[in-house]
Amino acid sequence: MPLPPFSAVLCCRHGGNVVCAWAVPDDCDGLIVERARCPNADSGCDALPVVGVASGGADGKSLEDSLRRFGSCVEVAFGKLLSGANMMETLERDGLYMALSTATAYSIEPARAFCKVLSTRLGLSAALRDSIELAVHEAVVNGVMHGNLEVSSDERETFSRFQNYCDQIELNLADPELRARRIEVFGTWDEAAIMVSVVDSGAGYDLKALAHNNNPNRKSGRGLTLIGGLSQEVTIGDGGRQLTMRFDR
Amino acid sequence: MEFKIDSRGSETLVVCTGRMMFADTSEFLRLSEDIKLSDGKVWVLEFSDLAFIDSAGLGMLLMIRELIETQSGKVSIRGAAGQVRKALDLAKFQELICIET
Repeated sequence: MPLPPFSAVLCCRHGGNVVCAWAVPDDCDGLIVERARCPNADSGCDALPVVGVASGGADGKSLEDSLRRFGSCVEVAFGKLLSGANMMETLERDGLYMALSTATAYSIEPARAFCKVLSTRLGLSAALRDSIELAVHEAVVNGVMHGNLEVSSDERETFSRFQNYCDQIELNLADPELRARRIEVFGTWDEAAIMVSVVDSGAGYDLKALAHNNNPNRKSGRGLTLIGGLSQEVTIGDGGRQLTMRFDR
Repeated sequence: MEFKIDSRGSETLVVCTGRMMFADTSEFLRLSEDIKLSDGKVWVLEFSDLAFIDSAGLGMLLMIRELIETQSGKVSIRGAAGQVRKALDLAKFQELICIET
């Protein structure tokens, strides 16, 4: 069976040309490039790991396996390798990185796999791991639902409107443009703290312009409250598309 | 998340297992229909085997509470521990719904 026609990308950042990436054709099921020493590198430089997951979506186990083995998981979906701008810096700092399509992030639990691997790497206590998992989960759900899928939580306030909310999710998940949008989750750490960021591909928002609903009986809008209570610092950037959390170790 | 409804004396138990999350909308609607069809007045959400809850799950709990109260019933949460208890505490749910210790 003939190999699919790859387009090579050459890296010359250390003075010589080295094939370091390929454009992924639509019919490619997956691409895995394992961590290996870069032939161009000096003694302190490792080639960066890039992991592609089967097109059409990843499951939770393959996501976790990729993160555990390579420190990264980048989905190949809808003919595109979904790696984003934050991948290189994260991996150069030996962090954890994943970039998934909205459809995949909705159907699996990215935060769970991410925190499992993070916990194993850093030997986190169960309490800290639980806190990070819930906070990252909330940030991912915000990014997927409100950012990438553009679904408002207002419809969740009453039973009579809840079915509309469910229908809107289904409708938007079927939209080829929305379901293909990328969501990135990446984390780095030092001895004192763990930083985790979630970046969506939506329109963003102005935090100050958000209507603060303090009604204790509200059915939605608790995500940011939980994140604030679980982390020591929250920063909103990139016009509302990036949320960064600091967890003290 | 999965749930099972079990009548025990005067109580109607809703035994929840797994992870109660934003994507559990179908299960939530199914549970709501079961509650509407029931004449139970004392409802207990049994969370001993619930491993995880998120903010959307918390919102669904409040909708369940409202539904039961419109049927002149009362609801409480039993057995919440670990991450689930932490989420309930952070969201100050002890002020909104009876949480048995």
